[in-house]
Amino acid sequence: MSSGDGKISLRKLDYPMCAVEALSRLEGLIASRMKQNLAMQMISEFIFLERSKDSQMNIYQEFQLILTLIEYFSRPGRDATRNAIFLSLFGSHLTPQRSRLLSRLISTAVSGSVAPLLSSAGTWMQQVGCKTAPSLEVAQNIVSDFISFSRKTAEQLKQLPMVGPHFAANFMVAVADLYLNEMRGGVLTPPPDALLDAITEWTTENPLLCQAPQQPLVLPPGAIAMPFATPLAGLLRWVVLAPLVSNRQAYSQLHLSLLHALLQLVNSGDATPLHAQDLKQIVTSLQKYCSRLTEANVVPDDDPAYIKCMERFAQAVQIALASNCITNQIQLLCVLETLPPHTLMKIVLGTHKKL
Amino acid sequence: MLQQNILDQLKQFIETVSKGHSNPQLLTKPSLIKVALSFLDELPATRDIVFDYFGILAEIGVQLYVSPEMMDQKTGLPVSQIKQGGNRQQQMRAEEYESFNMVKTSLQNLVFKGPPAWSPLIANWSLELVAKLSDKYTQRRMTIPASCNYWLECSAMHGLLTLINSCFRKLSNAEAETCVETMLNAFHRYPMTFDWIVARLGGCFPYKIIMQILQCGIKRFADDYRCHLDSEAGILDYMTSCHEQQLRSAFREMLKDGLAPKKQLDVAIVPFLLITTNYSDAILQSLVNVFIEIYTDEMCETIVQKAPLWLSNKMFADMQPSLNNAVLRLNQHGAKLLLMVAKMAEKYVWCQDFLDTSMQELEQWVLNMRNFPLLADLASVETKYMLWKSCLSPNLLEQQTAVRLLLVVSSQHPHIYYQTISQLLRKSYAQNPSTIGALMRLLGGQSGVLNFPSITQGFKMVLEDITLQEQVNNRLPVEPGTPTEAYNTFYNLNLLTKMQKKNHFPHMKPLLLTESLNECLPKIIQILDCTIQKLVLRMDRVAAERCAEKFKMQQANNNNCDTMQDMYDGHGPIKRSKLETNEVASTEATHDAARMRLAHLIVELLNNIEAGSRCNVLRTPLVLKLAVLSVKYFFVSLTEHTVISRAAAAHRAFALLQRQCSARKIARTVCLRELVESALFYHGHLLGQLEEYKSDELQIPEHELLIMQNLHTSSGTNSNRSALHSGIIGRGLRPVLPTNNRSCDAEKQALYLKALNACCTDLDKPNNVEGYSLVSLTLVELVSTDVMYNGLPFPDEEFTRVTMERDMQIRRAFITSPVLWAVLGLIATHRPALCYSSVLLRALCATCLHHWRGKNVNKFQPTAPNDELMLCTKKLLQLLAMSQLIPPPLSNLHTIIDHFEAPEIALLLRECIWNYLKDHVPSPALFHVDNNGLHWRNTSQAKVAPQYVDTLRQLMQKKLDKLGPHYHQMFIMSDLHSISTHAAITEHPATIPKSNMEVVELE
Repeated sequence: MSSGDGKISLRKLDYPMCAVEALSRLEGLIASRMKQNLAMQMISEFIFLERSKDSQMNIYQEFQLILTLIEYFSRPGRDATRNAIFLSLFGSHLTPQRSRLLSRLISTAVSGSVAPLLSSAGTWMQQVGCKTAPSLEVAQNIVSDFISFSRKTAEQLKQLPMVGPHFAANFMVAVADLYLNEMRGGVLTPPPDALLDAITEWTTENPLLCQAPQQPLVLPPGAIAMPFATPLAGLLRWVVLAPLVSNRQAYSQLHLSLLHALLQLVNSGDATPLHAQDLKQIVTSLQKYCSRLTEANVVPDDDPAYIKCMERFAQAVQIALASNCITNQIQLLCVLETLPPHTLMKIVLGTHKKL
Repeated sequence: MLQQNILDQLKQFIETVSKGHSNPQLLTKPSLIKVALSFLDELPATRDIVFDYFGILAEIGVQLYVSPEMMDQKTGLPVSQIKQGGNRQQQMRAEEYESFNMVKTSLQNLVFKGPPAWSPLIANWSLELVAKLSDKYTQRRMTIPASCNYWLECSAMHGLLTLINSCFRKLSNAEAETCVETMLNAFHRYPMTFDWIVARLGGCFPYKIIMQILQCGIKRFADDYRCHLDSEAGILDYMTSCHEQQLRSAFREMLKDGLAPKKQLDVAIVPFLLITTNYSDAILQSLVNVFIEIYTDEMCETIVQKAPLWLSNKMFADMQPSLNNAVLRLNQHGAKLLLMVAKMAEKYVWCQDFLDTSMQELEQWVLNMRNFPLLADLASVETKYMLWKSCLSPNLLEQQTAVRLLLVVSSQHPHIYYQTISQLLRKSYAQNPSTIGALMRLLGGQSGVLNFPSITQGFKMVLEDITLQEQVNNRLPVEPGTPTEAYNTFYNLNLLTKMQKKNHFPHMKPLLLTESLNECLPKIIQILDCTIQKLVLRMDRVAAERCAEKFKMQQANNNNCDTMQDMYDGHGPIKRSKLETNEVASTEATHDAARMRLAHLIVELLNNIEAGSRCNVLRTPLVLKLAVLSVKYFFVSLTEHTVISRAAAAHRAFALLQRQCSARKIARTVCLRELVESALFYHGHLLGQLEEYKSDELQIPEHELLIMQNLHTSSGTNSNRSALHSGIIGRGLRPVLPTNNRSCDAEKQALYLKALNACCTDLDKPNNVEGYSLVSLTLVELVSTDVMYNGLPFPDEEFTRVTMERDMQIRRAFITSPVLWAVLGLIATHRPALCYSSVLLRALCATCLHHWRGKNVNKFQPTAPNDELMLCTKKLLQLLAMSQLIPPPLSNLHTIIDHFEAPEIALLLRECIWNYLKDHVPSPALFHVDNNGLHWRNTSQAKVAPQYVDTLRQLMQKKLDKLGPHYHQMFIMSDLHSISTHAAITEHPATIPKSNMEVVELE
């Protein structure tokens, strides 16, 4: 069977039938790791309809495709193949159309609780990097769909850790990066309340959720798994910096569950999921805050918000150091010393310097 | 599984919608809509597709709305309430048509109760959709209000706009910004069909929208000055109705930039704004309001400076003609603007041009009976006051502009014309005489306008006001010396009438002014009445005070009167209080002086307008009133202090009297009666009347009064006539009358006689003596106290006994009122008028006779040269001679009478005078009427019978040494020259009255 024949027969089909057909053919092509180009051409022409110059895919076709994809991923099959196909459909560099479609697809999958698709999406996220633009876009879209535009937090979102723990964990990484991050826009934007509540609930009810990314990825042969990232560092930033912008009770709850999660890490052994680099980001934000305080002639030690921040930070650092899950510990300790003195932090630092 | 169910629903939904584009019935199924709505909650990813579907629903609604299928058969308009109004076929489609309502309700719910993220999304979506639909389905260009009406009838459109409105209310500032952006972007894309939406929704952020619209307008204008700004202007116009404040502040901002340009674009601001005003009156009005608000003199400089810069714009250079009728389109501040320009017009030629063209246009429109907004402005109260103020401006251009504006508005609002006349009339032009020009121009009216209001109403208005002011005393305090409004008004009216008489009044129809004023005569007379009444009261009071004082002096000198002592004491405090009230008196005096001036002015005006002349119809009460007032004025004017002012005033009165009397008989009657009556009873003091004691001043107890006693004792018919008492029982003689030390002023008397003369003379028939006869009759009526024996004939001398008491009273009247002699003298010269006063002559004659006879024959009493009896006799003889009642030689008797002694005089009076008169009854029948209507008695022909003359002849012969020349003249000469003298006298009759005038001015 020639490649040309396949295309011609596909061209006779209407949309979305051609997409269905194309997907099943892709399965073979990708499994055989042959004719990569042909696969890409087929995806472009029959799935995303990018070849016809006169008209783009209309919104109905998009949703037809989304439904087709959901159906396809729901069928029993090998995880590796599915992940491979997902990665072929949505690489790390996406056209705006595909990116939009991806967001809608994942959102629909969340709504429909389509576990296999979410699992593939989780893999995709890890592979393209949780903090890269496409991932962040997907995360942002889910937040707006299920948080901003939703009257009550959807049941499906609440159950996401059960349906797709891997995706949920990666989503948390991305979403943690979106809020209370001075690297974005230079201001600390607190997360929407509903989002915070949802994530607090997730982490409280599934203490192991934060470790989900550590599970090995099911990838087609030859593919290299990208390093995983845990939401711990990002969420820790939320918790520590939150007193500066908000005094919601939920942050304390989240803090507690994060400490639990850190304690859990001890058991799992060798991994070092907290990077000193991520924690240094917190220190930078705190330093900036302190310099603002000094400008306003306030001693940081007298500022209740700062004290609260430092207490949470010190507790987290203590447990992280104790469970030995921080890379570059020495570097971190040095950086922490540059912060205005805080009693608890001093004790923590003192304890660990001796060691 | 639930989730699977949702995905199935989605699949079905997509299939239905993507395939069912041509099947509205399928698409508008409520179940489908419900599914779509549920997706918003359950399947957030489908938001876009759901909204797309909603858009389709809205479009279906709009499509139906505009389709001919949904047309109302009767009106040709789309049916808006299909369920009620449509036919069956239409009702079947109602569900499709109304389908969007369900969507609208849910979305609105979402906006109100859902998370805030929905509002901007729905707002933007709706805006885009409305823009698209409006652009797609607008079939023809409509004005903004029409578009609004048309589209808001459509339920889908209405729903969308409601949604947008609800969203806008929920938006934060930043979100609102983006929505405005969206709206304006849509406006840029569909400028022709989106304007109504901007205008409609602009109300949500009026200032932002207005500013943006202006900015985008100016950009377009700067790119191409010929561009059409209909949409922009339309939006602004529409929004002005509710958001004028914002429009104004936007204009304020822009003008600030425009007058101090910094950027290239700023130069275009002023031209742009002016161009925009051409599109809409409301915009023009707002701009003008702002301009008026921020205008200062420095700004004028700036404008002059920057104008060339604006003129570089071609459009602006071309648009001047349209700017000219701009002012006509204002319904606020238009007049203010014109006046501002007028004030500057001396300085700048362009102002003059603008003013000229605008005013011409304005007047043209008025002539064409067109209505325009400026009229409303002109008719407003503030403007009215402003214009009045400007009318008094010494700046001629401003003044004339104000007058022209007032004339313009007057053609539609007569009351303003009246009020203006009223206002301007009462102003004083003493400071700036030229400003009266405004008034003159105003009175001229607007030529060419049909039914232009008459000036009469205006006069009436001001006169009404003045009447009130004059009647009510407690006016607001004014600076002393400022002329009253009444004074000003009459001064101005006089000025105007005089000018009109001299033909210095080119604007006005001749005689219009006079006629109008004559129409207002009742009002003028009312004012005159009020003024004169007050003056008369004051005059009487002063006279009474003076009289009382004099009387007291008299009493002080009178030794035999001791009873008055106590009365005297009582007057001490009054004198003291008088000193205290000196100040009051002086202000009162100035008031009176002012009032007097006013009276003069009014009378002068009456003369100027020839009030009361024959050509004007007057109602009888008015005629009477005017007559009475004229006389009163005459008497009041006698109290003027200088001879010249007295004479001037008197002459005014003469003119007034003469005009009335020659016009109407009734006026003459009243005038004469009033003149005589006043001279005798009310204002006699002016003419040298002796004050009589009032009976109570004699302090006679009532029961002692003779008249009372007589009533008690006698009840016979003649009893009250027969008793003569020269004193008061129990008190002796009556007090001697004060000698008349106040000389009976010859000048005043002359004036009085002239007044009588003015009333009596008939200009048409110079020899008509009707008037004088009337005086004569009036005298009889007023002086003679008895109605009986008032006839002309002289009875037997014996009979005088019966009437003696009455005769004495008549004599007394002549003593107290010396002016009576003068009056009789005047009458005497106008034969046969004196005949009617026969009873007076008889009384005088009888009393004289009686008194002469009463002189004691044995005791010689040389008669004093000023003896009252002798004077009286002499005057009587003079009168008789003058009136030709006694012929020569008796007519010369008065010259020689003082050479005789009392018994002789008595004899002469009896034999010659009484008997002659008894036989030749003094009646008009004695006189011959010649061709000129002159009454004349040819005495030379009617020879006196010897029995009347012989006594005299004998007595004279006895005293021939003294009376020789007289005897010669009286008896011998007359016999010799009887024929020749007769001829001579008949030639001169006309001159006689004049020469006699001097004779009658008796001392």
